[in-house]
Amino acid sequence: MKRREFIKLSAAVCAALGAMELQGRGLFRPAVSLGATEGAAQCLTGSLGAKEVTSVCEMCFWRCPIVGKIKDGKLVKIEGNPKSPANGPRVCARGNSGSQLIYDPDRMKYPMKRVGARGEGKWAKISWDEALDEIVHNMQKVKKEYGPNAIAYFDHGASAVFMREIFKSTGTENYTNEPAFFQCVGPVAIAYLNTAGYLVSGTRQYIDMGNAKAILLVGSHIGENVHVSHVREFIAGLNKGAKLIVVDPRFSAPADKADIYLPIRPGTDTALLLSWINYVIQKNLYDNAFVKDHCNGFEKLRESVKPYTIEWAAKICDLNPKDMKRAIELLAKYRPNVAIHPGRHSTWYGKDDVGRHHALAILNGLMGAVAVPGGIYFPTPVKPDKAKGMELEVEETEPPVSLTTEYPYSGALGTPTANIIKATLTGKPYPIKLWGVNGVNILQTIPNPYDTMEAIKKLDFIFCSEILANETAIWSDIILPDATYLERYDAIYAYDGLTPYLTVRQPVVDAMFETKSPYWVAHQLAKKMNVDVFPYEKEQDYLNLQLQPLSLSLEKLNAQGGIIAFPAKPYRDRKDLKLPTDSGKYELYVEDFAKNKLDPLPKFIPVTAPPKGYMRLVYGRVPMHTFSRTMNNLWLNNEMPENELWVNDGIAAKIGIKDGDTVIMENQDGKKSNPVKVKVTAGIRPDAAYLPHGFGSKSPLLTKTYNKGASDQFMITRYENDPYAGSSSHRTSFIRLIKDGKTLDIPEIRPLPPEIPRFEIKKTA
Amino acid sequence: MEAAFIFHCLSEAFSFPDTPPGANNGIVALLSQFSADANSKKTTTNPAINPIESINAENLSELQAEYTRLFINAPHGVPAPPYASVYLSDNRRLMQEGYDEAIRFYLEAGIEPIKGPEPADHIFYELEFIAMLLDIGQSVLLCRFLNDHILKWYPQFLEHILRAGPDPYYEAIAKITMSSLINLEKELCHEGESILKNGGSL
Amino acid sequence: MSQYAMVIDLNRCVGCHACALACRAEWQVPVPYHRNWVKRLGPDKTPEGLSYTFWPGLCNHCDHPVCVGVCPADKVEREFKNPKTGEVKKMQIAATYKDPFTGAVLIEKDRCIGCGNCVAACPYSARYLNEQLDEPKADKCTFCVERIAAGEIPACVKTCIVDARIFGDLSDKNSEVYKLVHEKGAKPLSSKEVDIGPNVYYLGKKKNISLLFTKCAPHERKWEKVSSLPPGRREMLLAAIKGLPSFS
Repeated sequence: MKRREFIKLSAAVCAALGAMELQGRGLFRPAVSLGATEGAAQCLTGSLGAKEVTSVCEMCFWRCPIVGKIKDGKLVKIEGNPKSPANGPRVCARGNSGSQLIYDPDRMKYPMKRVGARGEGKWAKISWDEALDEIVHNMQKVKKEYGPNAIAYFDHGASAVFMREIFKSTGTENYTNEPAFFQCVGPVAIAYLNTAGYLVSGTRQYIDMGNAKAILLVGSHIGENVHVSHVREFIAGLNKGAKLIVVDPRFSAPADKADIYLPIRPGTDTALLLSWINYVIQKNLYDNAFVKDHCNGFEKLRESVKPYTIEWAAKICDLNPKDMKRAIELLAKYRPNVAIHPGRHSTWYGKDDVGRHHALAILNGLMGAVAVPGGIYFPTPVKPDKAKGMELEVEETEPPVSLTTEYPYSGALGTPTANIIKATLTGKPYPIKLWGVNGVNILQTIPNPYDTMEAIKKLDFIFCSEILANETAIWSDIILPDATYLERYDAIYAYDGLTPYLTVRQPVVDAMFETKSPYWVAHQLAKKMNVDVFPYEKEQDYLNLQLQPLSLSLEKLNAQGGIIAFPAKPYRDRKDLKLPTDSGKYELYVEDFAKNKLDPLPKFIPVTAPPKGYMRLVYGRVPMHTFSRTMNNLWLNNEMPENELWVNDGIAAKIGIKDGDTVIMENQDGKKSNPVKVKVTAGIRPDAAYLPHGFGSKSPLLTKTYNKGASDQFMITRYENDPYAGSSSHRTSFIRLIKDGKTLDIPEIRPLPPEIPRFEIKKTA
Repeated sequence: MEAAFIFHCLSEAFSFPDTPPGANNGIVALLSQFSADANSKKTTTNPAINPIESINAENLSELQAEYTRLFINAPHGVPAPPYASVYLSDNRRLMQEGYDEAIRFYLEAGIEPIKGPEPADHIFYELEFIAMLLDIGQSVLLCRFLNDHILKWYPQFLEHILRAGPDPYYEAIAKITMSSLINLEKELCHEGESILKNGGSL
Repeated sequence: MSQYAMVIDLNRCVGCHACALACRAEWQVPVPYHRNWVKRLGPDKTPEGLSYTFWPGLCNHCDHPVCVGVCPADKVEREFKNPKTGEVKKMQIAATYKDPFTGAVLIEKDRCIGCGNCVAACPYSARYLNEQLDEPKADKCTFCVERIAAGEIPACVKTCIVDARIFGDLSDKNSEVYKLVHEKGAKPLSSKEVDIGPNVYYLGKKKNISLLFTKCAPHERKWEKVSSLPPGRREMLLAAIKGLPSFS
């Protein structure tokens, strides 16, 4: 800090200036107070003595309650809200770095209009009126020329919800297509909704790891994937002595903590689960009472899994059958208090995805791990009222040609992103000419970004709402600068997990530049388009209305520390247990799947193995980044500026690659990556390479992260769609390596059983 | 031209060009003086420089794109972020020590910035502040503001602008500002308060 | 005498880096320096099995702080007060010193001459020389003594998402740190070559402690190189410093 002695002088100076009329283009006015911060706080170091404002984090979608610490009108630190029953004063690495998002000179400051070519990132500042008028004009024009369905909206997170109503008002069937569903939670959501009857895993996972006696993780890398209360529950469970089984081709952070680690062949998880289901039925290791009283379809299940023996699966999965038996016996021993983690990101291989999570749900049912300590539990609803006029009522009429018809489970959650892109590219079954993108970097999210870029070129108009000029933003014709989560109101957040609470996001500091809250933007668009929605001038108006039935207001909530906790009701006595399915029972056999000509019970669908000379590209999270969106954050970038490609030590020795070498990845379609450093480790199978997700930014406007590391997303050009909802698979691309200009074929160390076909690369002439 | 007015005009010239700067008589006068000086000295490194052309109404949209590129958002980062904080604080962040420093000077003069879209350490705030101090004859404070604040970062800012190959208009404005700051500092902090007393020109 | 100490439980730690960032935020530590860090280790083979663990590191506030011994700044007398008993003690200190009542190794910033000796001496690289300042100064973890004096806890402890960091007074037999060190076998990161009495201790499975020590335990007695500088360098430094107007 610089010296402040001269502030002492200023009283005299001020008196001298007192009567003077100060001009200055409206930039200055006579000072109201001399010091922005009171003397006492000024003398305290660090964040001590700072003013505190409670709010809700959005460095990721978990949304921990936080408190912003403010000195001299600036945010100096973020901590967890000490009154939060979920995280207390704790926030993760990203939560701690939120201030660096506000004060990043690269952020979008004003509405911008493109002046260069699409993708070039050259703009001129325009006014909000001009920007919004341009959007309205283009929406109306496209609708008139091509019909409402030519308009599509890619939306994600708290920034996107309000504008969704504006898209809805145009009459398009494509008013929502959340990459978060079609690229992430789709399969697991569908599987559990149809077995347990509720969303056991969507944004949240209602899995009671903190009270489990055994925990099973299939591919979940909790700890590298950090959501504070979730990690706390996981570690609390382990600390109380829970046994841990981890199934993962990679030795992940939780694998290190596991009692049994199963390094499974990628793509064969369902085979393992089916063999375990068969094993517990054959050995009578399941919860007979729960199955008898609360499950439907057990007999059909028993029959259908008979072929799947441990020995058969051991070959498919490339695992030791003894370890497989040990693991399932350990799990069964502690039934029903076992946490079989449902997973979240589940768009792995396409056809097999819903089945895999259906198998997890079945195993969960057989263990009786439902609404008991340690198992999946019921959420405790803490719902504030809805304020009137915040959502549009539209009559849902399926258009004669729809992008959702082939996928029976997509409709409620929007249009599959893959179909939007295909329709935009081909004009079939109908043309799509306008995209709105809000809160999501679609090029670093949706498989085959090359197709996505080609599709964008075919659009008449594309606009986005963003905080930073990411890959998607640079393709936009108009950019709306979004206020960060620390600069705005948006919604009341109710947590319905094991520590229920209600809190509200509110501005911790004033919005910088001309950035605006998502509600303000949607409100303006509604006015310009004469849409009868969002009648409130200010966010506080609808927030107060929502709080009213709870005898609360923003003021009262803030007086109580910005958060109110409620008791949880996660468990049920067996005699009172009624699942929220139509039958009230846990559906092992899903009738509804059968009706839609889909598998009512999971079965083994081989996932094609890497072609000769290639290995499968798998990816995951790192705790200091949230996908691609935190990569330009000064502090988080410093913590991990680029990623490393994990390569098996045996493979590395055979192809002559050493730890720290730089390579280029080449995928099955000949696409090449940025140069990336290799991490040689025994902690990854020889048939897979692992790359942390979100790196290798292609936007030159992100000065700290541009071209740093390699993008997994730009290597994922091959994908399949799950037949239930049309979500897009991500673990279906294969790579080999190029070092010093020489292409290195990957040798096969673990031989492939005949049941698994190999992917064949089509040679083009 | 009166010193205060010069800085007032420069502050306007560093604001986003919502209207053509050619319509601003003060800016036009400054540019004419600059061109005349450059021609008379014949030392200008860029003989092609003709800032007057850029400021006509028909070139407004190009000038707006140029302002955006230089100062707001651009590929590979804005070449010349117009904030004291970026140059005077660690890690080139907004709203850090350089910003605090500017605010302390404003408060010392008994004024505070009116909240606008830009942080108050934007170059146009600081130039307007100089104009105001000149107007009210606060030479001691102004001298300190020059030496202990704006001259610590403006030369770097200028260098960044020039390196970006700016439109001649912004090149001229940036150079005029530099020489005005230096002249002011010379007059004010080394040779008494003559210009203030006489209301003279720089 | 008290000795503040920290125990870090690697069984709980998931390597999330929150500690490192909370420290950066609390003390506005400029990038790329750090007072608190997480180094990711493995997955690597160890005799006890495959290990993937972390080195959450900070200044060890050593019993024998070699960084203090190499500080060439002129010594001055300072009075220290025991925060618990009010007892007062006078001591001659250079610009960096070990507080007699808390055991925290601290820096008097106005007297730091920015020579970098202490930075070079620390076998854990726990100090940095902030060269972004007009006059470079050494800086480091303070165990958040400023926060403790105000009734708070260290920033890294407060933010730890899994409560893996336990802070306390090692001289207090009832403290949790005492129990973890003396009963649960928490170990300081030392080696045969370098054992200067660190007061940060690690708990964890054998394989993880094994990987941590293999990769991160210091072996180089770096301070010996600093103190064995050619004669006269210290004097030269001092003379140079005295010549600077800001120190006149």
